Amino acid sequence: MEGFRQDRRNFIKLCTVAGITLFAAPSLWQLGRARQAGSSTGKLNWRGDGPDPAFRSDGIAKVTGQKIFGRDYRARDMSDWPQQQHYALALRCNRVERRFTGIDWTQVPADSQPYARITAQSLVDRKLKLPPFYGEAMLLPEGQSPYYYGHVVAMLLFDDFEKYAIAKQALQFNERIIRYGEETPPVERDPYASWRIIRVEGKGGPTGEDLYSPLQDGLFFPQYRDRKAEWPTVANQAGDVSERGIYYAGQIRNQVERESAAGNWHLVRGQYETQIIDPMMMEPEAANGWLDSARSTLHLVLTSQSPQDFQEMAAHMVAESDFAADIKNIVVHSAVVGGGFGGKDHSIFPYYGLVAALFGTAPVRLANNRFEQFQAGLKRHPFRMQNTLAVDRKSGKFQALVAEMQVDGGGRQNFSPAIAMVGASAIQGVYYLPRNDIISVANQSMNVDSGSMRGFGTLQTMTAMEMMVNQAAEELGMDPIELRLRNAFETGWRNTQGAVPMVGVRYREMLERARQHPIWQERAERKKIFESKNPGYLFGTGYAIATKDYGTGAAAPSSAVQFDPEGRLSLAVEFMEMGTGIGTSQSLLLESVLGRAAEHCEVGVVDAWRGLQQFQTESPYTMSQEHQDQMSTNPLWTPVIGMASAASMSAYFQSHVTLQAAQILFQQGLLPAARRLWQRDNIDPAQLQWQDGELQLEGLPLLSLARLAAEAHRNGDVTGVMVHGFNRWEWTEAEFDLGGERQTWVIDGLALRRGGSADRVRAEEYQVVKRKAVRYPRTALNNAMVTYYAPTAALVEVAVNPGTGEVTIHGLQNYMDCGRPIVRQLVEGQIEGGVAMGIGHALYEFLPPLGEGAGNGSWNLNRYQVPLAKHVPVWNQQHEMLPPETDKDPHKGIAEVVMIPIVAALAEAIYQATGKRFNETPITPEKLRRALNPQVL
Amino acid sequence: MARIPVTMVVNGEQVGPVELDEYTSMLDFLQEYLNLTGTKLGCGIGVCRACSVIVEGADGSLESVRSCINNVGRFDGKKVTTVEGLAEHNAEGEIVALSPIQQAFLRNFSFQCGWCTAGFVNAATVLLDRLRREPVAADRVEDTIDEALGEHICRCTGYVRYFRAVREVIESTPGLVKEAE
Repeated sequence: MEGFRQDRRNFIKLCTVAGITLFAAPSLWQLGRARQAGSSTGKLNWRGDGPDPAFRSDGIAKVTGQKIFGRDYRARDMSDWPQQQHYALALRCNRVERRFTGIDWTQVPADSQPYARITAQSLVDRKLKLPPFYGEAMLLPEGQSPYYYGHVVAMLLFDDFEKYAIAKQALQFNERIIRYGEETPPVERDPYASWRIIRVEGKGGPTGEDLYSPLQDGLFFPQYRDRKAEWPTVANQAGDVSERGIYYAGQIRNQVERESAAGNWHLVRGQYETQIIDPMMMEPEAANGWLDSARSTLHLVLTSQSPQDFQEMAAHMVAESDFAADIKNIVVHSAVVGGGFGGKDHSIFPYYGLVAALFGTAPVRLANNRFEQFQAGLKRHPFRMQNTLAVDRKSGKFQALVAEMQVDGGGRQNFSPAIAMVGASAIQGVYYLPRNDIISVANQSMNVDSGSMRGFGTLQTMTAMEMMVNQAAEELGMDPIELRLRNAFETGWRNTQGAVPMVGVRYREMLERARQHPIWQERAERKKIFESKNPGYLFGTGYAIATKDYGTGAAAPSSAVQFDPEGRLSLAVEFMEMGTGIGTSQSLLLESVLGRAAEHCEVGVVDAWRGLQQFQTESPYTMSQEHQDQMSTNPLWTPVIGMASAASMSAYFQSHVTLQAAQILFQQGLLPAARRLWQRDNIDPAQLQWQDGELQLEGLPLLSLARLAAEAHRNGDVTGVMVHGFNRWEWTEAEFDLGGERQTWVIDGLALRRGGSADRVRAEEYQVVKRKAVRYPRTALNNAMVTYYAPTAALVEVAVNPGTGEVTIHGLQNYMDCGRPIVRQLVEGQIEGGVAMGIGHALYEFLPPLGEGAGNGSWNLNRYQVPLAKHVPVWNQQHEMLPPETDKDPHKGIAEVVMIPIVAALAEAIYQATGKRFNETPITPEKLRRALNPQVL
Repeated sequence: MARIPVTMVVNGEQVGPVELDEYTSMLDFLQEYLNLTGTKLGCGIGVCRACSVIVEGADGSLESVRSCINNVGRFDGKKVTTVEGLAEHNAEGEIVALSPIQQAFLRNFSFQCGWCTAGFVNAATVLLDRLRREPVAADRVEDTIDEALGEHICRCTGYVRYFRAVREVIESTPGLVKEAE
């Protein structure tokens, strides 16, 4: 591997935080790849010759077992690191009801002693504290009771692998290593957050002014008493936001009861529950860190989905500690992520790796095995919902939704507030609701903490909605798809928050397609035939549809596109590679604008963006309009510089800035070169076309990208474009002076390269172009919560073995609106993977809470059933991607959405087969068997 | 705790004799001692099959063995192939050709994150080896794949493209399939 010596400028200065300079090392994988000749040509060329890529751009590295993942790297793989690798072991509590009184060090095998024992006192001595995002007590102090299952009490450092392995074997399931004293009451705290979404439509209906909505009126919050949310009680139609809200909430609730009593509205009312789920990403978390004292530099190799955020928070953590004097620089080495599903986004794990490195005398590796990953890794939030859906008996139109959700966030807050909010805002699914009062509270508990796992709250709430809709159809004697059609949301209508989604919705079309499908049309007959051919088995068909918001309300992607004098395109993007194939899809995007795919795409880039010289101030979610207006006059200010990676975010947000950069590069770099080479001053860009990497204009000789690039380099034209965008449910637009004219682009930061030699994007080669004006989306849009949607639906038929409760998926048809797919095979792969994960959520995956759950350290894949091939319709699932309506349709974010409808579709198919309706997941074979055979234990 | 001498051939190269703690798992040996990290830890208890490696029997037949639950002693004197050993390399160590299974997985976009890929590559390679000796009836191809790869866990893909790729290789390689019975 190429060296990382500072004198070779392979570390790139990111910024200075709290006096510590942050450096980003080039992604480990990309350097490894540079050595792999032969992959850019012939059979080993990922791009291939056809319209679709031949394979993933990271495919060869993955299929040949090269070192690409953060967990792969040992000290000896890192240039300039000492060869000796040390190992860290974390000791975690498997109980919470007693006081932690110390560690019985005699349990550590005599010949495998650690050279360092890090306890809470060690952290106090060196003034080390967790970043505030994670809360307190990184290591539990003696005398206190654990805050939650899996709380770490100490870390042991070993100077060789064998000692570490022997000690781990002796200690991991050792009940005596951690000593406990007397019983103590459970640790309780106020809820992490509470939300309430109240809306009542006005006279103008779905498109008119609302009588009340969060977008129009704002949000209000409860007080906490006895660890529970207490909402204001004063109702006043002419009062402030809360008084008006309480007035309208009361109106909704009264009306529901009144109309129901009068026989006008049918109510579906019930408790809906979801389970604790482990993301079970295949690569358990790991970190390898080295404090290079001679150079005052701390190095960290991570498996994180959010290395940028880690780096910044880690700098503060170090700066406020005793180590501040020893550390001037922090270098984060990021790599390919071996599956994340949100479990590696803002995980606390890397901070333990950081502490291990600080106390180590050589590079220290902290790596969870699977038991530890279950015990300590972020989970999917379990939701408990009390829901009422009111449906007009005559018209079948939904009249109101009243929902109260309790969301268990576990022992540390993490993203629980956001998940409670997004879950609440998503429950409406694909339907229009004229009235809603939705309460969502994120609670603290002693469970392992939950985080931003795939679905982000929406899987839980939308599944409940679909279960209610299926039940309503049954009880009203209506066809379930017909009922959905009557209530389908239309483009331009207001959602439960009062906002109007930005993307056209095609729910009606998707519903009609399913209605025509033989699985649906012939479902009664198919049931009859199957059950007569397979006596004893029960057959059923279910349908569900979901629409997933994507985005965060503060998306801030960056991208840079450049060409060398030979016309080779290289690309840098901010997002990490987590399996979705972002390197492949982003590279391919360039073809339509620049004639060829990128030859080199660097993913997970954190360093290059300082070429934009941007700075941020307050949180984009809470800043005032006044602050935004004032700051935006500074052309280098942006609401947010960077963002974490999420599988569902790349297609839309990252693609947007990549395309903007490519278009500016074409206009400012290639077009002037074409004018000179063709000796034509006036060229209408609309007349230009790319054909096999050559630019065409009727009647003129073809110009290859290589020739154009050479000319641009020769003449000192623009050869690289770096952009930054900001999206708060709308994109920011800004004006720039380019090529002698004022132009509007849908970005807020721009830097250009002229000439230049590097094949990789380097900040030093870029010069900022200061914007002349900017239009940021209003801060009021923070109340809109979500406005981007990608819908998906599932039609499934199952066979149930009533003796065992086993459910076999007989047939499956998916529908997906992903806008314009960039690489079809990648999208299909996301659909198939999402389906499998949804099947796991619906039928198999389950972690009990508290002492029996993952936090007790005894969970692994022998007990936690993830879907295997036999649980998934490997050979008989079909997908239909709705053809894009126009060639301007967006590349929509998907990934997580496809796992949602299958859950409620399966629950309904099971009901249709067995007559048993389940409102909670998972519907395990055991649960189903018991329900069908109540007489048998 | 006893120490045992171990000798084996890994990806064509002689390894050892080396003395190791007898409880050293093959996975740890590959990763920590040989620096071959292409073989992955998934569960560590033999359930997920991400750690599968290929062991060659005395008769030349191949077997897929879980390296996380088998200690190094199990591999003493054996020929072992890991995912790093399947492609052809030139004298400079650069990859020049991939195995048919590796190519099929690429062509079908079979994997996403890639963590389980080594296990699938190795198990599928072993399956092809078996079918060379014992061809499968044409109507049993899918069942045969289900049996051979059915315990491997993948969290990203839903298995569809892995299984499809293996079927493609089986059906397009002469001699692996016989007429339906």
